[in-house]
Amino acid sequence: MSTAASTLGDASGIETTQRSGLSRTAGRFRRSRPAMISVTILALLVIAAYIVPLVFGMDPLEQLRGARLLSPSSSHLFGTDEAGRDLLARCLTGLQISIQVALAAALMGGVIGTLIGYTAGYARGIVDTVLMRLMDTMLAFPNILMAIVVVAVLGSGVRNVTIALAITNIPLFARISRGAMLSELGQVYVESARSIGCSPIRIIFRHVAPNTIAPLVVQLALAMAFAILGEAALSYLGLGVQPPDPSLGNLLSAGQTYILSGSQYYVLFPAAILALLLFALNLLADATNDVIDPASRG
Amino acid sequence: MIRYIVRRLVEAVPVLLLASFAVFMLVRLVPGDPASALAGPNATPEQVQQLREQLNLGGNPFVQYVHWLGHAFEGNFGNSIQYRLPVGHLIRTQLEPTLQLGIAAYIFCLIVGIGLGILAARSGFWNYVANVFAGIAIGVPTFVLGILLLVLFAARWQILPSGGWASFTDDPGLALKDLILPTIALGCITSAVLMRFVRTSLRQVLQQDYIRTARAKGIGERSVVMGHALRNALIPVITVSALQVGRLLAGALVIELVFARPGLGRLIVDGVQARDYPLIQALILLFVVIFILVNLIADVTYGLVDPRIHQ
Repeated sequence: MSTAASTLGDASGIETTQRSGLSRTAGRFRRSRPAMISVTILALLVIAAYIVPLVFGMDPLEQLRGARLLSPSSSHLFGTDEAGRDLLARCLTGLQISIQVALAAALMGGVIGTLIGYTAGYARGIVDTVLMRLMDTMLAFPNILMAIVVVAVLGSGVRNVTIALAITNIPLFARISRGAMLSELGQVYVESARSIGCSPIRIIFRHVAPNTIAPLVVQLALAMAFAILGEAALSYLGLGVQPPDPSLGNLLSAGQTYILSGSQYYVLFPAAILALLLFALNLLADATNDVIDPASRG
Repeated sequence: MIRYIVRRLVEAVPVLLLASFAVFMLVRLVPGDPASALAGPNATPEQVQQLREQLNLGGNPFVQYVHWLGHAFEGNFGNSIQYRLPVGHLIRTQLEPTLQLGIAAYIFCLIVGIGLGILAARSGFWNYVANVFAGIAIGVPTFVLGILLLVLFAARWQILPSGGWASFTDDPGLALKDLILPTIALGCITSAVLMRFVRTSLRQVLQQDYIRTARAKGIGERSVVMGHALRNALIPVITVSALQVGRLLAGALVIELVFARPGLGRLIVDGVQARDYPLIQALILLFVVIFILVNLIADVTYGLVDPRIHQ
């Protein structure tokens, strides 16, 4: 079957090897214990964020009279905050915001960065130099400062924070996709696609893109981890999600004011959720990297 | 060598010009009219016009830019909108606490990173310790680590202050005490990064022929590692550690707020919240200059330590 397909020439031959390669990768992924652990943690967190509040009818903004800064109990598993609001509900809503910002910022930054990288890698020459110089300059600037600068221009709030983090995610995607594009362009199949008259757009997206996807998937997980961290940091600094809306970052800064007066649970729950989320995403990135490229395992 | 330094300095000029122009244009990128937004709904047209001039919004942007850059060279960035004080003065007063923390964290990283790296390169047990340390340091965000340190050391055990700042010239003891927790919180990630570099680099060097020769001559193991191997192993580490200075300073901005320290972090966050554009522009330009200088120093020291790189 595969020999028959490969004699057909360009696209179909590539696709058969691609598909079998993909299913082999998927099998390795399922057998990898770190990968399965991280996927399980992430799935549980997503269920906790989106389904638990619905099922139990939790309201992150409802204020209970006389229930300020309660310790964890059976009626409030995480206790309550300074305005008598249920902390579990607030943490889970904060988790929702983290997940949304992470997905949106990683995908937006990923798509734009990858397009820039493909363009630079395919065009070479002056376009390449100008684009990659710009990306390197952005990369030289620490992420968090870059995000603060964008928020300074656009203002605070979830939407602007997402845009800020998407922008800071662009240069790494551009660099990775450019590198992958450059190494693929030397392959024979690109030459044959060109010789039968495929347009650059078709060559990039139909032929080269599927072969450069692996490192970009790893970077996507890392970009999500960074976006979650960035949103939490910006909200912690008061530049992101504004109270009374909860986010893991502003829960941390609100909870921190009560550390010395004895309500230490307040700050520990959002900290633990944040750490778990970041741990799972970093583990996923490492595991995916090992599955895609077993030789790189350290 | 001097030619090399001069060439790198000349190369930095266009980058600096481009970055400063981007910083200058920030205010013009703000959606809407920042001057009337800052002046508030009750402002007279004269007040709005005055703010517009303070933000360099009137007239040709290029003429305004040259003007602004000329003043910037003299350290004059105009007046802060919220504090009504010269921006240069504000930055100078807040520079010391940030530099103090940055330098302390850098020293911490060098000691922990290189020390742990050497141990981990040669012993299985220490390698395990180093891996656990790196896993925690890289997994937990710096500001969350800072909060956790506060919960333990300031609230639970009450052995270290929860925040504050003192100048080393006024009260060295208090300055040191106030520095311990923020330094650990800020330095952990960078220590882990450095540790990995030192470990890899030292392991590679230890496999080289001249090390086998040294061992065959009967030199003690300590002298082989510290005297012969470490010298070469640390060459790439110098560049990496210099590049981390910029990251440490950026991290210091956030850590300062965790530990209620004054400094550039407080200044930039307040500035962004109050939309104090002259202050924001000056601070960002300062950081751009610092990052360019740090990169330059990293390259030059690399050339100094390893003469093979001259050309």
